[in-house]
Amino acid sequence: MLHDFLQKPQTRFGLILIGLFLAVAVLGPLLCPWAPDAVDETSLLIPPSRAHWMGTDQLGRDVLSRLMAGARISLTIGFVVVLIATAVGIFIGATAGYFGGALDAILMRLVDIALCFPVMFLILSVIAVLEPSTANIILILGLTGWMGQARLVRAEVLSLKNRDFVLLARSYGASHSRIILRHLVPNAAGPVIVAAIFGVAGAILAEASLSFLGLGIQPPTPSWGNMLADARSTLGVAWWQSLFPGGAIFLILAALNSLGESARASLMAERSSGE
Amino acid sequence: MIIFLAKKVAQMVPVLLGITIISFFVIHLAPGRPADALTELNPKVSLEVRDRLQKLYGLDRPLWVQYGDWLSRMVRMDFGASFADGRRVVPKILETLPVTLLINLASLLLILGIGVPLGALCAIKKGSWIDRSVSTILFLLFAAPTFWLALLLMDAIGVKLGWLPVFGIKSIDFAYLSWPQKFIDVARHLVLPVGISAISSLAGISRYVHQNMIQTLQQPFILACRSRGLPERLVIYRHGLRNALLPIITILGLSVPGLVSGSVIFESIFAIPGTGRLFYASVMARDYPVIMALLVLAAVLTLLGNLLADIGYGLADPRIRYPKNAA
Repeated sequence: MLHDFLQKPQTRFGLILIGLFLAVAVLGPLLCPWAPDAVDETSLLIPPSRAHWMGTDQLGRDVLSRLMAGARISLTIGFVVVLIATAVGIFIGATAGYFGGALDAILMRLVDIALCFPVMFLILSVIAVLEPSTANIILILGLTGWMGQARLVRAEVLSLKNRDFVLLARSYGASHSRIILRHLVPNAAGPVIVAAIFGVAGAILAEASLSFLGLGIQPPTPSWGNMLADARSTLGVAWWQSLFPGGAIFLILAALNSLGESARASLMAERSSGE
Repeated sequence: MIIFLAKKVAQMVPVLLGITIISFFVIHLAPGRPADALTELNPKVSLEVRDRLQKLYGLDRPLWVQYGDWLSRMVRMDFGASFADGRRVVPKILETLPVTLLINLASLLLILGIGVPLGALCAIKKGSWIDRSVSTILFLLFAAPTFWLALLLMDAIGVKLGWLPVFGIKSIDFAYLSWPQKFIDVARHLVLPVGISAISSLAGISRYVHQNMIQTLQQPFILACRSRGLPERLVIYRHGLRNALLPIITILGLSVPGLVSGSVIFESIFAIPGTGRLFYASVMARDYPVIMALLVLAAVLTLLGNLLADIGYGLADPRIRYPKNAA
């Protein structure tokens, strides 16, 4: 099963690219040809050359080095945000599905309410209230992204909670939390993981959008989004300033989507053959 | 159908209340007081003046009193006055609405007009070179961030080639143009924003129709149609496509709030004076009345859009209208 999944070209494309980005993010500082925030007024807006593979920006900073530093921030935000969103989603979804009744009704209304706000409006409103620091961005994106996971987990728990293996565990006297954590949640892992992969893509895009609007990662810290924001002022002059950071976002999103779709297809195939 | 509708509407009430509570409290627990924004630029303003401003806006009373007050005015569509320029919130929002509506409707038409046939075509020609190349292109478009595409195209088509204007919705000399020239001027300004926003959503819709169509064509009733000897054209278009397009109703319903709220990023890139940019400007200025009004309006429209989708779906598909367990 896992073997088939890993054999698919879509999976490989996704995993290899994601691995590459992770390597850059981890090793970035060692590989960087220049310091990412080193201003050099003698080399402003140099096109891609042997010294600066991706050119320099309007402050003479090396685009490639900033891109590598940005990878670390974007990927960290993507993964941590999904970790938070998934944890909250599992907690609320499993609680609602397992206990049912009034608790379920209240929690699901909460999800309905949260889903009514256009995501960008909600995020921006909260940012207007808090300062746009990296920690706050992660918190906001995490706390506005759990609703899908909650619905998913609830549906899984509903379909599992009266199965024989759960009834057996209960007859042995297992506690509610043990049944949820040891028996229900692990069996709901498949769809949760698929949603989490797409969630990482969504979080990376959201961070880039916020930083592009100037409400995300604040300069001088480089992020792909605020590099694109810088590129707006050199439109028509320095194409490399918008092509490369946007290209990085594009590649990581394509890799994550490809992996996610491949995983979803495998999951669906497994479920339809198992029943 | 009436019971079905009544149930849906009844479910909306607590959600509606929740929306207003969340919007109100999120924004009012803010550390940056709007009175700060009004006085920050002027260091000579005394604490006394600041207090007076706070009192003027009722910001010194307990939160729940402010909320009750705001809710009762909101029901009468009175959202108060903007902190930024003192104008009423409702006309301020209304004047940004036509531009946003125009852009989003045009782009929605493009999306449906191109996306649906493209998705259906790929499903019908499943596995052919057409399917593979179109699907690959759509996959790539799906992953491309719209603001990046916007920047690249603005750079190439707008600035380098100078074919199209890249900022705003009208030229400086707009007032002196004749009617047909005015029309052309606005149209030229809209090509890039409408086109790019359509391109990015097109991929999503098209892939969705594609998957639906493939699933529909595998259903037993399609086999039944074929076994009755119906021509392939009828099987695909009359029986297949019609069923595969049902979920599009839901998508249409879900796109209602987007039509009005617009895209914050898009409108800020292209300097379009629409609702999205008003929201952005209000967030930057901590203009609470405008933020709250837009947030609540957008959420209420989402609710209405969901309701419309349910109604539309119920009208189109009797299986939804009369659920099996209702009897």
